[in-house]
Amino acid sequence: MQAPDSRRNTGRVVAYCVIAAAAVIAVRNATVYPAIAGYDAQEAIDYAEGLVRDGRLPEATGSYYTPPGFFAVGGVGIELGERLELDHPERVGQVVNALAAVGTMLLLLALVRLLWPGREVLHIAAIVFFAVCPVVMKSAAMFHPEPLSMLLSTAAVVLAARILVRSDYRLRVALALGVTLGLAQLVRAWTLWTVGVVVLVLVVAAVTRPRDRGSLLRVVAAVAVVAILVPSPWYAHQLSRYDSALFGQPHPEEPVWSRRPLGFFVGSGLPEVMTEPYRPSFSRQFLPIAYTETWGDYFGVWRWIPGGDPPSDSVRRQLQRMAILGLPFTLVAVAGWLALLALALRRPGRFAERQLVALLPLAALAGAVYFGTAYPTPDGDTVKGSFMLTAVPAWAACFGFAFDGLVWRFRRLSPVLLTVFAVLALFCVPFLFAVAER
Amino acid sequence: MTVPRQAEEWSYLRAACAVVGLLVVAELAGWIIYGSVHHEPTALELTQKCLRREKLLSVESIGDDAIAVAARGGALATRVEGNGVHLAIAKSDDEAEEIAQAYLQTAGRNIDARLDVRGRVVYVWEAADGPSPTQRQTMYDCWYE
Repeated sequence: MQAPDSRRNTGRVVAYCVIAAAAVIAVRNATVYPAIAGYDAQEAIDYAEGLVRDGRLPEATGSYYTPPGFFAVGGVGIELGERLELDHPERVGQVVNALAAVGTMLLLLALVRLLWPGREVLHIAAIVFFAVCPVVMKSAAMFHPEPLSMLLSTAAVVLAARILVRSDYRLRVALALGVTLGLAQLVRAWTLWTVGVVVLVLVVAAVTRPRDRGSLLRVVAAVAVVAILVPSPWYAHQLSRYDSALFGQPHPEEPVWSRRPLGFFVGSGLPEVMTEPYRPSFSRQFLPIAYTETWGDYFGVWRWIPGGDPPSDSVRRQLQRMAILGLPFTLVAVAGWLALLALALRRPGRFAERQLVALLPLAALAGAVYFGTAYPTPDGDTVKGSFMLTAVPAWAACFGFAFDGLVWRFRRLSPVLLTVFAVLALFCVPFLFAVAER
Repeated sequence: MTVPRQAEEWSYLRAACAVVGLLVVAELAGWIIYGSVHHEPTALELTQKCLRREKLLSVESIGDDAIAVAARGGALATRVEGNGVHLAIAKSDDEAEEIAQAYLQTAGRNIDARLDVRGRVVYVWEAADGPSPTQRQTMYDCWYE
């Protein structure tokens, strides 16, 4: 909805208040969450310490396939934490991740303002979706590369959107975009799909904007060259030692498409996705694992500890509640995503910048499905929702787009819609707080 | 020009909402139909599949191990990092205890070190000093009961 000035100002205040509240929770979590409880925590800490203290990369052990960007930052953080005589020096890296999540939220606000100026309901809905989505707060509390890769990926999307919205084809802007995409690859290989989406959307814009074609093609060339050059030493290093520059792990010999049964791709996990949304339920189904890890704690990194007793009754109720609360957010976000995809396909030349938001979730889903299929594990470990963390800002924008559309279409019901949305979001908040002991 | 633009967006959004509704109905229908016709794979099948596909190990029939052969959940033999292991899956905790007791009484030297029970799954290792931590973890990674 287009807002008058007073409502626009109110919308901005609300958006910044949500970001401030989320920032307080994120930083607080980073200072209480045990780093060792996070995804692949010991591997990440070993990598960071080895890199900064001894200047060495892991050799075919631990997270050797992960680029060193975050570990360099985290390793310096550990050194700093030790000089400050912190009990847990890795907390510095965790706080960096919390700030990366907050930075991503600010970039998301900049993105939705660029793509849908003046639509305050859309902006607030997107920010709230991002803030209450547990996978964001969980990752932001950990010593792990994902939040930094999300920050860089989102920064690249904002830069690309800015180029297209403002027709700003200056070389230095293109170089900044290329460097951001290159740095993102030096943090996490998942950001490769951001590279693909950005380049594809710029090419589509070049095709559909005949008057700007020459300038846009120069931008595409500059972005592609720099985005390849920046991470190339890392890829060269990996290729010189392993079979793959990305993920040289052993996998079954059979073709990729036959490594998982059909149920892996279409299984809904019902009814356990609502009644027992934690490991080892539906461990051979993609969607329910990704969903419950995104909106809850499937792998036991936030509220319970895997390998021992199953979650307590209290924790089980929390996980069940989140599985239900995540449903309306997810369904509305999927509707917004499908609508934006359809718009992008039907009118590729109109609002080409919005295709960034439409294509990123598609690329992330395709990448995650491929990874989970190519490297099948019995416990679903290769289907973590956090692998798609770089797409969460785009999902948030899709949610905002759809929610804004619903509020516009059902104007008389808008107070009800806004109230229900606020209540659902508030119900999610208790789950966002990390607990020191589980 | 916002209202006409949002009206156009709504036509796409309405169709997208319909698609989402259809997907939800399809998932619910699929769950009901699947549940009525599908039979879950057994723990033995899951273990065999995991050992072959995830751990890239060869899995063989149990041969002349009469105790393992009698396990109601099935049994198999494999070799992890050179150490052979027999795996028997019980249908209950009591049966697992009975299998373990049978091994303790009949399976010979160092059986205490070679025998391992995890839930309803009983492992008997070939090496006299039992499994190494990595060998044990390999089998635990493919633990189903």
